Amino acid sequence: MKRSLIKEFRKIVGEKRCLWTPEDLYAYSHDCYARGNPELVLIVKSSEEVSSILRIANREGIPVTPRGAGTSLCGATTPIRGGIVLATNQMNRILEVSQEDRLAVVEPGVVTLRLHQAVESVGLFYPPDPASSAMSLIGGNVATNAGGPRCLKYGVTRDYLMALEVVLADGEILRTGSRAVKDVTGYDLTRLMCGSEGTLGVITRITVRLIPKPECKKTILTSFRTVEEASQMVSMIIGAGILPTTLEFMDHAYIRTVEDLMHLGLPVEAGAMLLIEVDGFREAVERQAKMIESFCRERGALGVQVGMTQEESDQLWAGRRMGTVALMRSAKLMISHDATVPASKIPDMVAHTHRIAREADLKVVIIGHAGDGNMHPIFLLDPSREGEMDRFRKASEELFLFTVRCGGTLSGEHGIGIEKNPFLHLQVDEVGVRTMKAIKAALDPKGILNPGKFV
Amino acid sequence: MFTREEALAEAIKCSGCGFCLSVCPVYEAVGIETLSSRGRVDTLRGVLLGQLELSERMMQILDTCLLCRACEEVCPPGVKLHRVLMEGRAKAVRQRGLPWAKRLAFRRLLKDRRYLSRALGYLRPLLKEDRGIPGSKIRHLPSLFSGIAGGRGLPPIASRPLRARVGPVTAPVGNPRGRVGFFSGCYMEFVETGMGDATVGVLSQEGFEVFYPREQTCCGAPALYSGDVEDALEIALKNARAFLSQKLDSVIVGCATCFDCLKKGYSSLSSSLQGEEKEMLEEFSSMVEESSSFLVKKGLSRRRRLSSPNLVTYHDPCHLSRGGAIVREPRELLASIEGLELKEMSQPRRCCGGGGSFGLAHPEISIEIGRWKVQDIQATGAKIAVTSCPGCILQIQEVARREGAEIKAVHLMELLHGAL
Ligand SMILES: Cc1cc2nc3c(=O)[nH]c(=O)nc-3n(C[C@H](O)[C@H](O)[C@H](O)COP(=O)(O)OP(=O)(O)OC[C@H]3O[C@@H](n4cnc5c(N)ncnc54)[C@H](O)[C@@H]3O)c2cc1C
Ligand code: SF4
Ligand code: SF4
Repeated sequence: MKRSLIKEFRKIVGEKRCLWTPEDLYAYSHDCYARGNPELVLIVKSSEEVSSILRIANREGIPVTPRGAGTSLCGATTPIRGGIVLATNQMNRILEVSQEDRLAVVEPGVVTLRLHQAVESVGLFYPPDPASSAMSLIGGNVATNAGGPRCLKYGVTRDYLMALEVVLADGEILRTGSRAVKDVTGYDLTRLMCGSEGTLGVITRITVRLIPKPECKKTILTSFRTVEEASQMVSMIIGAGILPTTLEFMDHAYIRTVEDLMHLGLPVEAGAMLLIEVDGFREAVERQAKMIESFCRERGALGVQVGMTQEESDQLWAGRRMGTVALMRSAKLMISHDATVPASKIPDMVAHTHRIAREADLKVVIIGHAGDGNMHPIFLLDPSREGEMDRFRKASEELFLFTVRCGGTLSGEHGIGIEKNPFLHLQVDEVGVRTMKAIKAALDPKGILNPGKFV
Repeated sequence: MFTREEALAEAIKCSGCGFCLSVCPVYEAVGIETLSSRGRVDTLRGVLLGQLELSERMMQILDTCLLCRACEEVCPPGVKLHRVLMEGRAKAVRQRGLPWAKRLAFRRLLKDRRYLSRALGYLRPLLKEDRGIPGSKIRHLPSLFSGIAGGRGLPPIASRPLRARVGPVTAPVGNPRGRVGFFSGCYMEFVETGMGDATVGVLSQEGFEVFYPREQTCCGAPALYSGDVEDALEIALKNARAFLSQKLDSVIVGCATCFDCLKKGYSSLSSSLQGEEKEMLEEFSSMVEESSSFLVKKGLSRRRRLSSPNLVTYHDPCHLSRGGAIVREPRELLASIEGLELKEMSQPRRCCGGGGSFGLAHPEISIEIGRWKVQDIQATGAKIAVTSCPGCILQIQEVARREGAEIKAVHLMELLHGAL
């Protein structure tokens, strides 16, 4: 990048927030999936700064990749065409939490967990809870339409968005939505931006809908002899019309990993485990928990554990959240898919995944937000093994084909990024691609926003 | 110390997940990923792989770590950041010579007299002073500074070092229960001598004969943590010799940082030694005990009470709660004092931002981090923050003064000593 341009950008954000040493570029070059080569890092503090930056970038045709906490699992955050990384973490004010209107207005750099804490302290609740919520930013959550365990009952990030402020590629500032719970005025641009992975605009302000905080919650842990039994149980629970808050599936290897990490006395002998949470009014929670307990016992669960203390269940959930990354203790590379199928297909999906992995000679661990069919087959890879990455690519394709065939989707929550870009055609047909391209061209004609992703 | 291979083995475990970002106090203060836990592991991996150089920026990355190890505690694959960082610092010393850390410290502290008092403890080993002959050189230090600092005043060094007040052997009160060594550390020796008095005092109240060898010197943490392995080794051996000349049950330390250095630092240093020296260092290291945990192990023989009831809160020094995993013991001792009520702050284990010489080199970051701690203490309503590290105490006091917060930080041993 030309010196004079860097100077121009530096004028906007000041010296301290304009970084271009090799070390800074290195530290901002990656997410959890891949590394790119940015030329400049700008840390922004206001919509106006973002707007000024985009105006110049658009004029010069410089790629701009918005960045949250860089926890994307699919390369969405990786600046693969160089240019500018636009870091949003210092735009981190919670501007309003309104009990009357049950909403919060925040800047994109607020850490998800901080939003949870802020609204819960006044008796409100923001349900979306990606396992990365301790560090992910709300802007990143919106841009990836993040989900999480609680989404079974409460829905995903998209379902809580009321309004956005978005800086478009040419620097214009777009305001979508309103503070009204119902709003059908015009196209739903809020939802268009949600999940757009930084390719349509930079989100600079977010209004989220809140709900009253459930009075209490309860965790139920059930174990099964085999993954098949556990996955059938998931389908049965959903089929029986029971709606827990979460219904998490973990296979044997994952249980082991969490146990090694947290020492909780988990049923490490079990083939699989379901971690179920129910919440709501106390009486309802008690009744639901009993119902689930007897349901699981009657249908052959190995063990059912109810009545954990709050601390025990917090620990268990922490283990669940950290377990995925802890698998790195025994693997050189770990890639977590998030192919999602209708709930009735979960047993098939699990069986299929195992078969595919076996045939490709790959190690796979399966967990999932099983209640909503969002499974995470986590592949533990060793790139130095002959042909391993090729076999992995083929296995992935087979898996995606299977999910699409049974009415599911390539990605339930992690997004497309660069990881799943080559597979997009499996699910989105020509008309779909053309429509997406038209939208992209209309909003970002020069293609400067997070280029190389999506379309 | 740690080899390049060991450091690299740690660094490549990093998945980039970012869990550590949620606890790195420096990242929260500066908001720049390069200076965060993940950024450090990542760029250091770059250096170890030969993709990045030990540039000025890299020096800042190495230098702006508190070594509080909060990141290690939440890291799912278990990356031991300190190993990577220490190898980075050692490599920097090998390649560029020592001065960077010192230079920074000097520059800062000469500009601000508030840091001078803290500085003293850290400067001594860097200046290679011999603690064996106190007095002469220490008196030179202030005059040296006052000249360069434009006469902005002298550090509040205790008028008499601890050794001028506490004899080489202190007799036990009542039934003798054993014989221990006392490792003072620079703060207690030269700055906050009252804490040293109190630690020896409590040990003696509890029936221990306390041996306080004059040949001991600084624990060597400043040298070790700056990557100066050679000097650290020399210091370590000197300390080991000073204590092993006597028959002792244990060596008691009242400073969290010294404890961590003597316990963990020395045992990793010993890996670069052989034969008799190696054995000596390992033996010494294994005898080291932190004051509160030693007392809990032995059991208190006397009842203590406060003259008037008081509400206190407890701050966990990083070097105890992580390095040594001593969290329960100080609280047990507090609970044993009649008339004392402990109210926990929301994040007792969060770093105070002192971080040894960190506060000198990066006052803005250090004070920002300290401010959260002080606010957390204030929120409990307690006027007294108890802790087990003179470094944390100085930091908390200083930030509280700046913020106009009416809180006092005291050492647990002072509280115990005064409560009899
Ligand atoms: C341990 C772990 C667990 C995870 N668990 C889950 C889970 O349970 N559910 C789930 O859905 N995901 C999960 N993820 C994936 C990831 O955390 C989410 O996608 C998260 O929403 C990303 O947030 P971020 O702030 O890190 O965004 P980043 O990774 O920095 O960015 C993600 C994408 O959003 C864009 N972007 C970021 N901020 C903005 C903005 N202000 N404006 C426009 N575009 C922007 C980026 O360009 C990029 O394309 C997990 C990741 C990890 C490491
Ligand atoms: S928590 Fe550990 S693995 Fe995750 S980014 Fe930090 S150092 Fe790397
Ligand atoms: S040791 Fe502390 S300051 Fe250093 S990177 Fe880890 S959390 Fe941050």
